[in-house]
Amino acid sequence: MTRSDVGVIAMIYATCLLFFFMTLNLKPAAQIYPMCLIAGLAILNTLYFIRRLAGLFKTSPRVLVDDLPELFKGFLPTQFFFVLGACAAYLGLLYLIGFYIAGFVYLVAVLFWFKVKAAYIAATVVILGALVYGVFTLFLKVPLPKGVIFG
Amino acid sequence: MDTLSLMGSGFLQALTPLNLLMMALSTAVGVTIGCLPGLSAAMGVALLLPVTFGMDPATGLIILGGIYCGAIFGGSISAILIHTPGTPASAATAIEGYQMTLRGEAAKALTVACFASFCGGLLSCVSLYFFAPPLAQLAMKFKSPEYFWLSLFGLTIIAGVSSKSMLKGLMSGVLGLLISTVGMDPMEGVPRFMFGQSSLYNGVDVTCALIGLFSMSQILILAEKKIQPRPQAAKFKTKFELSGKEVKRLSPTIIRSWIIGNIIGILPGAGASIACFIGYNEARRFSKRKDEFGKGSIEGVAGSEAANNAVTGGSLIPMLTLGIPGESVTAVLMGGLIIHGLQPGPELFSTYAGMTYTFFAGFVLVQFFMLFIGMLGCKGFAQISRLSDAILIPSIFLLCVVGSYAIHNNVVEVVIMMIFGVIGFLVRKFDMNATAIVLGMILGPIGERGLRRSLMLSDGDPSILFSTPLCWLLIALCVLGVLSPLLMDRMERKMREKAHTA
Repeated sequence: MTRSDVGVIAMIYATCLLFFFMTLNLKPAAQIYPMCLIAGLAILNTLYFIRRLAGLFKTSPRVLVDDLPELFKGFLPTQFFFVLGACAAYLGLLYLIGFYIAGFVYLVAVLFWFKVKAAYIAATVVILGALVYGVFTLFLKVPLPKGVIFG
Repeated sequence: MDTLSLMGSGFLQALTPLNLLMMALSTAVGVTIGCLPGLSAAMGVALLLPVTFGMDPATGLIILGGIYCGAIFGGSISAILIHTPGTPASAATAIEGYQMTLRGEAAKALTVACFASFCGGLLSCVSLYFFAPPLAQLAMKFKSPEYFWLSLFGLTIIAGVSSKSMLKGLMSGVLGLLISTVGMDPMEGVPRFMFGQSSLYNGVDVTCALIGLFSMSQILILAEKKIQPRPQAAKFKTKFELSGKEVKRLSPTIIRSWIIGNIIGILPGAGASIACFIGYNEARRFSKRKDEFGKGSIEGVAGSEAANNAVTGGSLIPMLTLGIPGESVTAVLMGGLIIHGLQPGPELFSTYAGMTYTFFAGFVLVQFFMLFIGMLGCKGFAQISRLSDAILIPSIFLLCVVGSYAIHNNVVEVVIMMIFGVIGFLVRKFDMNATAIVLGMILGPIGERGLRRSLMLSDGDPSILFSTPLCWLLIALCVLGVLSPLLMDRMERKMREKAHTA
């Protein structure tokens, strides 16, 4: 049994509990199907738990294997959370200044952070901008957000 | 209309200038996605799904088919030139293809890969034409109880497509089913699990989930590790051509791999990544020049490439006729079908037969585009395959955003896509199964309707679920579905070992 197994099992039980409590607020007739699914998920999770537990008792010494360093081998937290944060920040910018300007700011910021050469940054911005404008704005006529400031 | 006239009119419809243009563009995009290591065919199809929204369903499906076929072939370009398979389906191609590159025969290896992919893909269309309609006829006999079992069968297949643990695969599937209950209850008309968000009234949009689980999660996977520069692509010293003698030599291998790929494609749970190894292994087993294997054999490249492309047509059969996608790409394609308001099943071969046969014809023509684009654009794609992840990460993210926004012109969908992206990242990290979640989300409403309608018809008596021979056949298939991953795993491991010890 590994630490990641414990995490998965706990997450699944937490999901079951969350949906279980939400299901209790439904009409009795509407509860049956979700309850069946929750029960199914809980049973499968318990089977998985028992299987991993059985595996733990077969090994000696009986310790939890810390597989997280292996799972996250080479993980760069600064880079990962910068990318994730930039994506989240982009959503905020999208709301404020619209798709195209936010996209420009986001692209330049992320590419600059990755130390991409200026010529490649310019090429990426131009090609991607033209692609999105051509396909979504001109061809599909999708009204991309203009942002509360410019909208 | 009889089948022959449907086939004829399908070709006429597919040959419109717009469709031809879309075939060329989508195949080129597919090859581009395929040749970029780290990007998969499923990711490409999910990312470009929203582009097809405003189009005629046949054109939209042709585009998705073009991306699918192009990406499967595209994977061989980086496998041959930089020894990095663009997609898992080209893993076996890298073995012989890169050896040929080291010998200065990169152009020859790419020509063989392109020709074999074309033949494999084209021949797979034959089975699509011949096996899909009879299977659809069988599906016409399905009523509510059968649909319930069918969706359960689909879910047992989830175990088949799961990565390591069958239980984790099944858990992922049930999680998908649970997500599919978000929104309005179809029978009682009460809101379920909407977290106070009125935009979830119609449930979680499958396209958003697809883009998040396959594309956004890939961004996070690429972002977690140090970005390595890609190796220099090899220079082409020989010409892109095949002699008649070489074509004759490759023909038996290609035909063998076509049969292998087709059968594997039809079998739910298996996919192109398994087919390429079996195709490669059989090519070596039957070869008269076994000593060439491991040193750069054209038969090895052809065996792998014909098999993985032969999967494409075969894998569409259970998806189109029964609504059972056997692997991630067909699950995404099925999502595309549903988005266009079409339900997989017999209706595609009756009410919407015109559209279906246009798609089939488009699928045939896409193979020709793949051949031409592959042959003419190899040098260009070789350069594209070196594109840095640093550029791919923000570019794919922007396409994910615009794609998910375009579904309903709603920013909430973008937020949902991002949430699914993070879920997809965790799912991949902890060996759960993103494909199974998607299958659960797609099959959930079908199963729920089937179960609840059946019980309504029988006044709550569950014996209705066991009332017909077809129900029992589907129950047997469910059992087989649970057992199949064990066999598949063993087969894949055996083939990989054989391929690497050669």
